[in-house]
Amino acid sequence: MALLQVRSLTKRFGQLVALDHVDFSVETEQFHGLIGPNGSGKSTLMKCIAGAERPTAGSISFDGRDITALPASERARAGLSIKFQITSVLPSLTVYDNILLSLQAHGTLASLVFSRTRGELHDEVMAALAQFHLADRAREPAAILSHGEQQWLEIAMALAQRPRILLLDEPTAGMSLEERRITGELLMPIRKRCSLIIVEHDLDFIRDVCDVLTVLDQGRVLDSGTVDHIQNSRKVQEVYLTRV
Amino acid sequence: MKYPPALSRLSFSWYSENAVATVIFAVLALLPAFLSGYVIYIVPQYLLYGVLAMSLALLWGVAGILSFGQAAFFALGAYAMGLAPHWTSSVDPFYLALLVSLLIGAVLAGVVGYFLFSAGVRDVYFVLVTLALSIMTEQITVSQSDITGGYNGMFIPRAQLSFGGVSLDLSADVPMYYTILPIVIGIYVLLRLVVASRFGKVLVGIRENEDRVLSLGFRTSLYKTAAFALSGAVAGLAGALYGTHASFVSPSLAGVLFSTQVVVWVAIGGRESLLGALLGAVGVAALSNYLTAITPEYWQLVVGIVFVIVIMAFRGGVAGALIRLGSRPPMEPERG
Repeated sequence: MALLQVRSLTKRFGQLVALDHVDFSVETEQFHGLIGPNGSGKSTLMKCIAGAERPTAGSISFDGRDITALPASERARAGLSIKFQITSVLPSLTVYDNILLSLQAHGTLASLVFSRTRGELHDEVMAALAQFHLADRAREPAAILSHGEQQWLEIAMALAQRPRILLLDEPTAGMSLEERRITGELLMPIRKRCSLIIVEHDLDFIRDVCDVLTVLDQGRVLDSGTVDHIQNSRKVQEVYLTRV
Repeated sequence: MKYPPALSRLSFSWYSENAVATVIFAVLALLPAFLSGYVIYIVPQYLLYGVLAMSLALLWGVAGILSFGQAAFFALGAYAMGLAPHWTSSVDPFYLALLVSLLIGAVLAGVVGYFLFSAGVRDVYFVLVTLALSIMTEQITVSQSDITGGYNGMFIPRAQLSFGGVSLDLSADVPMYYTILPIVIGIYVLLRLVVASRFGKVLVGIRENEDRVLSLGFRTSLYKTAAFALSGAVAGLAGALYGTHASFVSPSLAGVLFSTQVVVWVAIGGRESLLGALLGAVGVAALSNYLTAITPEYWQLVVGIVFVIVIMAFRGGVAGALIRLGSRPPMEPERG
């Protein structure tokens, strides 16, 4: 049974059909890439999975449980963690506190009022920051990080929640070539910890990182399969040659 | 190392605000030794306005939720102080009124907040509902004239405090001053600790990016409800103390005008700092009081001009400008 199963998912914004009966699944420890032209529905699908958007029709199951009606916070607690397309760290908090808050998200309100868990989590915070080359910036407000560092911080925040599926929406957008290379290296070790769904326009990057690709076009699944299969798919080549 | 060493750099504004607050409270504690008369009578009232302002600063400055309903909780607290002697003869009505004012503010804000935040009501819609809450409270106090005295208001005798075998008559200004000042300091310290806690950090996160905090797994509606309930409790308690201090409460205390004044105090003082909000309330209330004496026709115009100038010059109020001068994020200390 797939870890995540999306069945016939439809999302309409007024007259616009952003997703049209999309079927999609992710297996345990699978790195699954979502590609497609602009406006094909990739980010909308990610938001529907994470709970940031409610689908118009269809269902989403996670680990055998129907999560279609669950709010975003409950999905996060169940093990779905997202890095949004637009970088959204908490700018006036320190880099350290951004990670700490992510680690404390599953605690109770009372434990947070009395600040019970901070000391216990310190080593974990610093390890997460070190993994993303941010340990030296721990004291700085997140707002002053570079764009690439903010992207890394947000990935680290998403990972700090110990997700079973990590959703990354354009994690390398706006990064330099060197930062993209480092990002690819940073993602590899997480394979043993969780599955990954990644939306990315950089096909070289996604080819290096992912096992399976799903191609969306105009809200529909155009093709799905291994990287080799997608590379040789005539349908996909037509879409990319004519519209990208 | 227990924490990254330079985290302490961010604590600059935390420690500097603590230092300023210590000096101010020390001066206030010594004030009756040097001054008497009207100043000693009126300062506690300004300080209670300051507590009301801090209740809004917690909500608006920290969590980013603007409420025009704080006056309603304040007025209900004052009415509780007025009505408490009618409720019981076995319990000291002063203590009972304090307890009821806390509960009524917390419960009303908690219930209203729970339904609004759970339904996803945010921003201007929340402002409008809290404005309506103030208007409804004012109308209820007018319509229930048998209980509240209606438009004529309600006279509230100054409390007699008793603890152990000791009794303290608060009808004189100095005992009242030294009763209210420690409570104000206690509330300030309590709110500072709340802001400094991880709970406070979640509220800051909600202010900055609620969707991000939601996606981390926090039930933000629960945190916002808790913040609103706490702010309602603080406003209610301040209202109860105001009631016994001023010896009078009327429906206008819950009205739109007073609700707006609270927002103006906080905006001028600086919503990013509890001390800024407290001093904003004290300063603007004192200025208003002074202006009513020297220019009864135009005092509101002058206060309005001050408000416009301060907001145009410093969007974060006076405290916000001072914090930015130190280039440090406000109200987010590091606690070991």
